[in-house]
Amino acid sequence: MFIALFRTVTLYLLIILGIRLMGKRQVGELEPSELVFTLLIADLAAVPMQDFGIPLITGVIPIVTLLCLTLLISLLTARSIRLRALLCGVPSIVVRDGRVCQEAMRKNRFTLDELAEELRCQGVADVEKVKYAILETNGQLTVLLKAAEQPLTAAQAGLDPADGGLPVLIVSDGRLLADNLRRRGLDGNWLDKQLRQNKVKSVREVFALWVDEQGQVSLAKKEGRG
Amino acid sequence: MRKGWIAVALLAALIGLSCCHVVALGGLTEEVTGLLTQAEARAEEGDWAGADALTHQAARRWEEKRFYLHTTLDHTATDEVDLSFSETLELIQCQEAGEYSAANARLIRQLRLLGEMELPLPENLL
Repeated sequence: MFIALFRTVTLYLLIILGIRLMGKRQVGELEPSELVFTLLIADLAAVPMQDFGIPLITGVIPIVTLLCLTLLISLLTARSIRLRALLCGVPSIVVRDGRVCQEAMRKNRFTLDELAEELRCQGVADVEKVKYAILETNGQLTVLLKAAEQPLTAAQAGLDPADGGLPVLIVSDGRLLADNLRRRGLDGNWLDKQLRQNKVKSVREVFALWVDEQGQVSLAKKEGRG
Repeated sequence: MRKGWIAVALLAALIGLSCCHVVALGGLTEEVTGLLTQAEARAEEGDWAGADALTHQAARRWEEKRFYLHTTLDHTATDEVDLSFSETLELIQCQEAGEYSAANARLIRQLRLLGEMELPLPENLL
């Protein structure tokens, strides 16, 4: 038991260090400690599950230890900026004012091909248009365009379009979501009216009915099965 | 921060339980090997009945902890000890001095290794 505990802690910290040294690109959307937890937990659970000669507790102890360590690390990194920088790394600016920061690229082992691919994924074909491209600690690239390259917003055009707010689903696949209807301050009479307007006899014929904060309704009838 | 304290408490509980396990297993293997050593001394004196009684007592002590041992140790290791107990008891019945001595020594070694396996020694930790 003690051996399992010690080995779990040692290997967990070692793998976190390994993931950190591998750089941001390997991390994906998880923090290093969360990624390590995800990598290890499935394997730990599988061993006592398959081998009946191994006591269940030898799988349970490492899993509970990992859970506690991951929780502690996430709490400590939330409180300490230094520890956060040490365990999760810090964002790196890889493009500044249209110029690629070669030193940052080298440090993060981020190639030009990968940079170009990430920019294309975000609809940017020319690096000259980029004010900042930041490689985040979770491995994702944030691209901020130069002011002149940013799309025109309604505010910049002096327009004041109505804000529809969050649309809420009232009918889902023929079922009425009464809570959503109530929360939006609507009732059965309003729903009947909407159904009549859309030439629908019953809620059962509706695939989806949305209504936004302005009362704008969007209704999709169920399609006949072919 | 409450979750953090829960995690710390859980880790402390695991460490505490592990230490208790090391002490309990060490105590059990020491007690059982002590009985087996006494049994061998009796057999050397020609007191096979005494050796049989002590080995049965050791086997009973081992058997009493079966659930605990099976839930904390590798089943292969505990099953080997069970088999060695059966073999040793059979050899006492046959009063085969040489073979009994070898089987008893193997059983004692197996039990000591089992106890040592859980000790937080550098060779085990690494």
